[in-house]
Amino acid sequence: MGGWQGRVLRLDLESGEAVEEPLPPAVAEKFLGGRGFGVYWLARQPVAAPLGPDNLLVLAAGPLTGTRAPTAGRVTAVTRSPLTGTICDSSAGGAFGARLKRCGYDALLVRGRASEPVYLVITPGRVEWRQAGSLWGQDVPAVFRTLRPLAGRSASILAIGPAGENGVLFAGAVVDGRRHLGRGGLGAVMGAKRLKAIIVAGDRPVHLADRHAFDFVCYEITKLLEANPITAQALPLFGTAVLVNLLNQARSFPTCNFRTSYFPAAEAIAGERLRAAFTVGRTACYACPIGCGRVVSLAGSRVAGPEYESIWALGANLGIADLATVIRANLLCNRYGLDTISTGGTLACAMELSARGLLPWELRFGDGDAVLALIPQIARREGPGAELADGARALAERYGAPEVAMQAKGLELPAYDPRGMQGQGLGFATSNRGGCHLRGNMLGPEILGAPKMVDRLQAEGKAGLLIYLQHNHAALDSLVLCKFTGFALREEHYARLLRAATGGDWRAQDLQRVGERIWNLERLYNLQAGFGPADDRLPRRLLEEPAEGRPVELAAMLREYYRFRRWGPDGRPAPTKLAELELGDFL
Amino acid sequence: MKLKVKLFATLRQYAPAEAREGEFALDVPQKSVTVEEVLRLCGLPEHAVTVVMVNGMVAAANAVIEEDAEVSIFPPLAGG
Ligand code: SF4
Repeated sequence: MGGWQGRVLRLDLESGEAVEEPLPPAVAEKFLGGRGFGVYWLARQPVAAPLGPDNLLVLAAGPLTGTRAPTAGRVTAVTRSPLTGTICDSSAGGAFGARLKRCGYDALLVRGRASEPVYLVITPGRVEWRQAGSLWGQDVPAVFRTLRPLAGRSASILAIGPAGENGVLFAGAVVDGRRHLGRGGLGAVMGAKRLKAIIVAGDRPVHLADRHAFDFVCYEITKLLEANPITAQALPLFGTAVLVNLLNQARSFPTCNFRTSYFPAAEAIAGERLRAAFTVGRTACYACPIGCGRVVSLAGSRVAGPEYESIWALGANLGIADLATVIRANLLCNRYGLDTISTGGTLACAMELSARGLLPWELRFGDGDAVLALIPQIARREGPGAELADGARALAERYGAPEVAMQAKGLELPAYDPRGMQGQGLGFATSNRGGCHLRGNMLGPEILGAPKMVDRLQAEGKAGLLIYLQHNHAALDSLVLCKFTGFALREEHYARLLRAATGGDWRAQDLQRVGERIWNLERLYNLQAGFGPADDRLPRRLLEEPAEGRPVELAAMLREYYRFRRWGPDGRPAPTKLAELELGDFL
Repeated sequence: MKLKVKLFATLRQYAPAEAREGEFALDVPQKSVTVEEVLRLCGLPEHAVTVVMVNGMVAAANAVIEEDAEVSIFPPLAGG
C-alpha cells in the first residue's frame, strides 16, 4: 500500500505510554486521512467532555502528505470543541503533516492529561516526554525561539500560546510559527491536557505505488497552478485579502457585527491597500507553489500580515478602518494563540451589547486602541477579557441578549454575509463544526462564477450544490491538501494523484463518496453529543433583517438539504443511507 | 451619459492616470451601453475580467447599464 505509512501512534498523557498500532487498510480507504481519520477515531469512543482527559485529540496526515504533491505538508487536527461541543476539525499549513509522515506515522491519537506541563519530541520509533518548565506561560514567538534551535532542520513544531493554557475557548495552535489551527478551540484542548508543544522530526521516505506516474501528475498539476490566474496571480500578489473589495461590492461584507453588509471604508483595509502600503514579501507552506501568506512591514519590522478573514474580523466587523491597527490586532492574536475570527466575532458582539447599553463596561465600534488592549486580556482571562474568553454566544447570553451573538452552533461566523449569499447561509447552518465557510464554500458559485454563476440571492437550488462542495472539501481535508488548489484543479486531478500514490483505483466520484461518508459520520457524532435539527440555524438577524440583500430563507433550503441527504425530520441519516456509506458499525 | 467605474486587483493597471484607487468616471457617448461595451471602452482585455457588478449585482456581458450606475470590474480572484 503506497501513500500511507500504515502506522498510527497512540499517546496517553496520563500514563506516559506511547503505543504504535497498525493503520487498518480498510480505514485508510474509507476515510483517507486527516479529517476522515479524526472523525473515525472520535466516533469510535464515547463522546467526552471537551476539556476533560478523555477527549481525544487526533493530529492526522493523509495519503499524499509528505510527498512532493503541491501543498502536501498540511496537518488536520480533530477533537471535540470546547467552544461548540461539536466535533471539530481544523487544518493548518506549515510542514507538521509532512514531518509526522516522515516519522513513519499517519496520525497521532492523544488522550489524557499530563500531571505537569509537557512537550513531546517525536522521531521515528521514539517519543520523548519533556517537562515544559518555563516554556509554560510563554507566548508563541518565545516558544518558537526556544524550541526551533532544539528541534533541528528536519523538524516541524506545533505549539499553543497563553490563550490555550488559560482555557480560552477559541484558542488555536500554531504550526511552525506562522500557520494556525485556528477554529474551535483546539488550543484550549491542548492546554487542558497540559501539552504545550509537539515537535515531529523525521526523514523517512513516503512510499509511492508508482513514482513515475506520480511525478508526472505532480508536474502537470504544478503547471496548472502556475498558469491559473487565481493561483498564479491574484493569491500570490494580493493574498486572500484580495476578497475584501469583491465581497464588499457584492454587499456581502458583514460590518459592525453584521448590522450592515457593506463597509464604506473597505478600500482602506483591502488587499490592494495591504499590497501597496505594507507588503514586503510572501510566504508559502510546504511544497506550495501558490504562496498566499503575507510578510508586511510595520514600524520597521517584517512581520506576518493578516489574511482575508482576519482583516474582516478585526477590521470591518469591528468598524475599524485603519489597516495598521488591524495588522497589530492580528499579530496580538497570533502571539497569544487566539483564533482571529472568534476573537473579532466576540469583540463585535461586546460592541453591540455596549451600544445597546447592556454591557456594564464600554466598548465602541471603531475603537482600535480598546481592541488592542483587550486581546491580551482575553488571552489571560483578565478583567473584561475573562468574560470575552468564552466566546460570543456565552457573552450575549450572560447579558440577556442571545440574538446579538453572530454564531452558528456556538462558532462565530466568518466574513460572508449570507443575506447576499443564500447558499453560504445554508452552509453556516449545516456545518458540522458550527458557523464556517470552509466546510462547503459557496463563494465560487455565488460570487466568482466558478464552476458556474448562480443567483446569489435565490434560495432555490442551493442545497444540491452545497452538498457537493461539502463532500469535496471533506475529501480535500482528508487528503490533506490546501483548498486553494481547488481554484485550479478538479477532483479528477486529486484522484490521479491518489491512484499513483496508493495504487488503488481512485476516481473523482470516490472522493465524493468518502466526503459524504465523513459528513454523515460527523453528523452522527454531533447527534450523539446532543445536537439536533434545532441547532441547524442562524442568528435571528440574518433571518429577519435584509441588510443590503435579502433575509436568509433558511427553512426552505433546509428542507431541501435534509431531503437530498436522506436525513429524517429528526436530522438523522436514514439507516439505508448509512448502510450505503458503510457506516452501519457506527449506528 | 456618465458611469462610475471601479477596477480592482490586477486590473488597476488599466485605470487612467487620474483614477484614485481604481475609480474613475467614464463618459459614454450613447444613451445606453452594455457591460461588454464598457469593458471595451476601458481598454480591458476580455480574458482579464471574470466578474462585473453593476450596483452590486453581478451582470452578464450583454446586460444594459443605466446612467449613473456604479460598475465594479474584477479579474479572476479567490481566497477564503
Ligand atoms: S495556498 Fe496559501 S494556505 Fe494554501 S498551502 Fe499555499 S501558502 Fe499555504
